[in-house]
Amino acid sequence: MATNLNVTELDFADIKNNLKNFLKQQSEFNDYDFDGSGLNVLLDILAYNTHYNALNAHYSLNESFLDSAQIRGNVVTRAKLLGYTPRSVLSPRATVNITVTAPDTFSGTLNTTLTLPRGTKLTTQITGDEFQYVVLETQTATLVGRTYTFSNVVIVEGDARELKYRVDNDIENQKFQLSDFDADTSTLRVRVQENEESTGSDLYTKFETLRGVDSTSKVYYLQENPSGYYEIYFGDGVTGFKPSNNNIVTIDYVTTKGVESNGANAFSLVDNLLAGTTQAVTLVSAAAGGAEAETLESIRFNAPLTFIAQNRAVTSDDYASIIKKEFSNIDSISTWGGEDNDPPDYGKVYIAIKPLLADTLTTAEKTDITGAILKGKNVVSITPEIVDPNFTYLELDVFFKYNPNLTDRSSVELSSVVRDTITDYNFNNLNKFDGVFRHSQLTRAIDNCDPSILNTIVRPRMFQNITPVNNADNNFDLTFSSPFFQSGDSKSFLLTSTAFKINNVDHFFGDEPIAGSTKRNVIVYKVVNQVNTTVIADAGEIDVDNGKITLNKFRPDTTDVIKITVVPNSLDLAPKRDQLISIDNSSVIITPEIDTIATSGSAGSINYSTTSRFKS
Amino acid sequence: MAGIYTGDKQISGDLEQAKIVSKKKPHRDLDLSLKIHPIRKDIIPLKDDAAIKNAVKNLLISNFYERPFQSDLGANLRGLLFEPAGILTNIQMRDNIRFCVEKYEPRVSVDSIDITDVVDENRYKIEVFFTIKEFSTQDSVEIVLRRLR
Repeated sequence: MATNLNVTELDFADIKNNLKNFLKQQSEFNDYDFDGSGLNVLLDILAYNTHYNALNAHYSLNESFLDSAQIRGNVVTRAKLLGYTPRSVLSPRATVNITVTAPDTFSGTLNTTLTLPRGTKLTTQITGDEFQYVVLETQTATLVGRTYTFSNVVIVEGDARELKYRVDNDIENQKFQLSDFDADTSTLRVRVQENEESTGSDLYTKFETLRGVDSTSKVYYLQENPSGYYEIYFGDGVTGFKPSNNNIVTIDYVTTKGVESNGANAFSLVDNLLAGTTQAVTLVSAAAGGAEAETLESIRFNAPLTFIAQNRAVTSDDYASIIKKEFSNIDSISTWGGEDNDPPDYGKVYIAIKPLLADTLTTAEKTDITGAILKGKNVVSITPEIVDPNFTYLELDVFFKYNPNLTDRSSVELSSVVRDTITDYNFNNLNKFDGVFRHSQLTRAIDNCDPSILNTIVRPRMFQNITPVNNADNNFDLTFSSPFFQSGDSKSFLLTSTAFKINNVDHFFGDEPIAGSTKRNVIVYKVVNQVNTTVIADAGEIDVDNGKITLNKFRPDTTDVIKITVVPNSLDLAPKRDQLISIDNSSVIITPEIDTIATSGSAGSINYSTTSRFKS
Repeated sequence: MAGIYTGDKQISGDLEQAKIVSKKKPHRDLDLSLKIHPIRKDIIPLKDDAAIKNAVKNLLISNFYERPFQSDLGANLRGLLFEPAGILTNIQMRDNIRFCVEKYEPRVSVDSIDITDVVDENRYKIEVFFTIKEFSTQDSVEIVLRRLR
């Protein structure tokens, strides 16, 4: 018999049982155990009330912490305490040149300058869907001949919106809401004018840091409100300037469809800048960087990281978290200190970024990161250096044995399933700075992709492509993600290459051992009467242990791409620093073979063949 | 050795004590009408057959989903009030009453159920006759089902 009322339970039935156990101590009422009794009705109410309060307390406590809150408004509020504003939906941005040319027959007057106003509309199509782009900043071009040229015009996808609010300081903490869920806050412009009649206005900038902010600073604060809309507010007259009563606040921004038009690369003007002229738009960089609004999980992940970084880039992780917060066109990012670089380069921090839709960032994007995003946040004596990702491509020989009695797929269909599996593996696990090629993981995935597949052998080889200049000395430093396989002082070539022309004759790269060294010498040879004849004896060096190849002093006739292939020492390949591993789908050779033992038993063992670990 | 078998153990010796052990435990329940005793100024508990009868009545007037987390507790008679007044509804009511009392009130067994369909007054008169197993006495509960207005 319970002597006390147990208060640890949370479920209705357990709470009710506790109450019943408690009632066993008294003899006044003893019908509590029968469901129809009046006392049981009372117990239901008591238990329900306790359960209700417990649940309420449970939810309230959960919503009080960043890690467990489920309602977006609460997650955002917890993140706000860490000084974190979730990223809004971002429009794709493209850069274009716009020319406006007046024909000889033009009858009007050509002014010396022409203005391209903010909000000028352009259009593009992606797989049949039309998207509108708008010019983000007003630009002016000067007349040269009969043409105005606007260079490097940044355009963003979406509709330009403008909202006007009147300041009323009788309202405590007046907020000005952006009335669209799909507002891209990176395009936000906030201006305040004295009153409705005044023509001039002050441009306010977004608050980033307390440094230098005083009662006269024209800054606005941005936050996401519990309803999911972004809103701005102004300083209190101490930290930031406080607009006066009846000032007019003009907020303009772009509403966007996010990722949908990433990759757009052909634009045409919708608005006519000057009647009677010919307008042309040429692409500088395709649309990229469109992203959905930050998800709950992303806020949960990034808010503490940003708090740890304190908006200061000190450790290499700080750089990654700041860039990820401010720059959206990132598929994968890797950062490391100069002391960890090869060779060490003190006083620098290295950043490698794989963008979403391309292999490398544009120069403008790199400048944006080192300038607008990192300037003022990194340690003074440290210089950030953005390097392009270094791809190590893999070609794979895949052999699998299968039992045709266990599947209704043909060998061609099975090969297709295996190819899809490899493509999925490449997409999900590789092409990232932390994407390790795990050999057994891939073979397991292939084994599991169809019940008839019994075993798999995958032979990976690494390759990189080089594009030489013709009729000049070429020098290349290739770094692979793994040491090379070498069997003693083998005379066989470690390195193989595709052919390139010298004096219109096919030449190849090869290598030979250096006596007393693990390194090897790169040679250029041609085949004469089926015999390899060395043409250049010192065309470079192979650092077998560090996975590096240096090529120099070769002068091909053409600029055709040369593929340099080596065999890795390990079947598992792990990228370092700026390296990325990627399986080249066109270099995957799949060979299916019927397993004779599985189909014919021991009689099939006579014709059973196995596959060599090395390519002959 | 003289003794009385009580079902789970052999009691021997003092037969007076054995009488106390075999004495029936009275049923005592809270009367939800919360009537006050005029002298003691305390609520009057329901005892024995009155407590059991009240429990049966409580069950019969309970509808499904009325009691928290016990969705199938009750006879759901009110839920059938607006069903067509025919034999099928009649059978359904009888089934509900039997099932409900058997499942939730083990102290009684239902003897018979009398359902009168008073069409002119838009109501059912339901009388459930049952035997209280412990006392072997018969009792009945009468319920009138009608719409409120």
